[in-house]
Amino acid sequence: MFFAQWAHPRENATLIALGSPHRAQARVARPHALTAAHIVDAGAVMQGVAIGANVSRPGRLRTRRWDLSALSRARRPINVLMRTSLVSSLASPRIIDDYLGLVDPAWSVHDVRARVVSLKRETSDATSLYLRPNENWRGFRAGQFVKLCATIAGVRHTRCFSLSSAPEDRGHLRFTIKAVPGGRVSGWVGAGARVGDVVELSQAMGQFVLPDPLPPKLLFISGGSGITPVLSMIRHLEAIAYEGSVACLHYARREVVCGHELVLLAHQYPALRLAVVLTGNSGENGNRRLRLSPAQLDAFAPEWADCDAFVCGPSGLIAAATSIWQKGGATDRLRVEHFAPVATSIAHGSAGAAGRLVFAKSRLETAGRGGVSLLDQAEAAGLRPSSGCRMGICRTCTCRKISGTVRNQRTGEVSSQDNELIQLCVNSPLSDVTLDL
Amino acid sequence: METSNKPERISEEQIEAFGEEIDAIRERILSRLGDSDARYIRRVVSAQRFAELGGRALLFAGLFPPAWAGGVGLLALSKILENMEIGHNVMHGQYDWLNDPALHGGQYEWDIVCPGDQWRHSHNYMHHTFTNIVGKDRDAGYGFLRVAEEQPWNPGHLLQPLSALGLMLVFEWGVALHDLELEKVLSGDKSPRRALSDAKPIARKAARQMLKDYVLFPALAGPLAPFVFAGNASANVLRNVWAFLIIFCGHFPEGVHMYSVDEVGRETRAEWYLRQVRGSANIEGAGWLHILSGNLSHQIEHHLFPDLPACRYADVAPEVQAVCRKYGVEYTTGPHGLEPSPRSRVALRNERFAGEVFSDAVDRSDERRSP
Repeated sequence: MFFAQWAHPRENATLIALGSPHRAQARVARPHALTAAHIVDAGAVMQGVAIGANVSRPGRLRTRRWDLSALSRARRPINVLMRTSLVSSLASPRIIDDYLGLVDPAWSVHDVRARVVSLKRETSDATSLYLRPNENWRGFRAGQFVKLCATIAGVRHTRCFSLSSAPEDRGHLRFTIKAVPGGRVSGWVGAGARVGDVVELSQAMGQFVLPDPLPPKLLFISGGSGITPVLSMIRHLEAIAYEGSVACLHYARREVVCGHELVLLAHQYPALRLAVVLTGNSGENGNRRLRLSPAQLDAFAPEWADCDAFVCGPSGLIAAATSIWQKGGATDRLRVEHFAPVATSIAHGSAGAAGRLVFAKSRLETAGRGGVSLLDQAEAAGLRPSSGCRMGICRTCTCRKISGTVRNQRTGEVSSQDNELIQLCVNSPLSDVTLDL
Repeated sequence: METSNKPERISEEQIEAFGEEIDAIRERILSRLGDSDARYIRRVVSAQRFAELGGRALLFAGLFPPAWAGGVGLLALSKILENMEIGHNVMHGQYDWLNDPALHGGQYEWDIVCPGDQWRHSHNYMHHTFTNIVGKDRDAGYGFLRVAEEQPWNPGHLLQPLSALGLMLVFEWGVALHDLELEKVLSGDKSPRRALSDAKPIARKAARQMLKDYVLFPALAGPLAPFVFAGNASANVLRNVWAFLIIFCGHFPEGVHMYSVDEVGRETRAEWYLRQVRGSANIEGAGWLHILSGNLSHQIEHHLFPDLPACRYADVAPEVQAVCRKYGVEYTTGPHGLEPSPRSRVALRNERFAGEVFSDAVDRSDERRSP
């Protein structure tokens, strides 16, 4: 395999390029041939490699004596019967899934439920979750994400995650999830999830997918765990033996999520050119100059303006890419996917302005007022949501909050997760709020 | 209005201090909510579903009398658990914090002819906000039983011992028709047209329930259809009787106060707490009694904290009782009052003269005003 050592003149100390694992291994094997900075960086990438080896946590992988999901083929005709109106009349007012779940929690005729079949530690804070979905899963396109709903300490939490496996990977879906400090679901994947647990999935969604037909040149730019949809796309391209040019420029702080797999892919798949930039921890001096720049792009992929580009990562990376492509011209060839929570500004709960208040179903928008109940504000906007006691007792006004942060004036509890149920009569907005009203 | 059971006066400051202590108990429950509550309700749900499946399966073997009896018992148990410990509590929004659509108060539909939406209005809002306010809280006699001396008497109440028995047997229909306010249609206070539009969702829900219990399951049993039909009917009646007894013992025993609309004009949260304690009575008993009554045996705690998981009521009952004792608020509790208490005697014996004395004192005109 041909590999051109590439380094930008000013940044060669920390910008490394891996064209083949031989080269990467060579660096470790012959450290005397490299500068000290290279060794550190190659070592850091290889650290990802070492951790990425199949390390199943002890005690986690257990075989089930009778694996009910193996019966899923036999279930299809049963499911056809279970979907009939006779069965739904018999189950009324419950749905038949409520009873099927007694036999197997992953059995449903309506929802996609999936069983955790394996867990693999990728880096010190990233874990791959391997799931086997039930018969209702309709497949996905490389680069898409799903809403994953896990029951953690009894409470259901829903988050979006990109698939990191390719559609061609048979038998399981893989999500590679980096633990966010304080993150409920990502923390659970890293520490609480067990083989055999059942989660609920949405069907695959998202437009961050490869164009059809495939263009001749593809460029992927990713940051941190933003590598996951990119990995899915590259694995897919390899599986279909795509022969165009595939360039992947990845930014990571110290550890590379799925580093081992990236190196192997670069080895097996001649069309792929890979570079990993280690920026160090944020706040360290000098990492600013390692961020995505036109100079880096010119050095790594001079043809970048002719490529169909995909950028996935934190908002800083996306902003940088967007501005480069705007200056360079071809924004229609740039596709982006945000991979970090969009910051919400929290004003404090006193009276006063608190962002926009959007009533999604009614297609209505007003200026939100802090310290005033959402029910009063909805009514002031001319809506008539059902309500009762107006004191937080009867829950007649419970409504789904699509996004935003609100505070319960009765309990002081702050709700900032998307899709939480809130009582309109006792909650007031702290930020932009969108209600399912 | 002077009545014999008028609560003793406590000062406004004391009422507010009482309210703060009750709020503190509420905070303590909230801070402890977690995995154990989630496991509890999901265990009850599984138990109820297994009981239902087992009951229906046994009824299919109904030719064999013990199987039929067992089937009726299990199905009745399942319906009681579903209506009381699951349905009633889930529909209060007690488990909304689990974020589970299957246990979400606003969407839950229960296994009874009364539609969930209607129940959420008549029970969660009307009954829990206006507890024991004669003329507002329709749980006080369901619009036709006279359970309090404060309710006006009419000669129709002479048949009350019979109508109470009747209501007990078909209680689910009483609950379903509860919100139609048929007596107001008869008195001309509500237009028949509005009653008809209110009746539509009830008819739809009732049709689904009837179809399941009295057509489809018997039909599936083929020649054993009569056994399944009779078994389902018996289970529904057993559930009706049990629910009636629990509900009528929770608000109308001796020591429980009824209020008039005038008395509770603009009350504070603490005053509302006070009215909840004074308007409710607990039932003492074994653990199974609490579960099968949906923890309505802790009626006082339920009325103070209707939106907190009912499995917590038993834990905090001693604290609530201690706070009540401290402020001299009567906390009514006792063994299950299946024997007629003075209050149920009002319903059964038609204490006609008491009724006449108080009939003018209760301002019923207010109930037509929208809240």
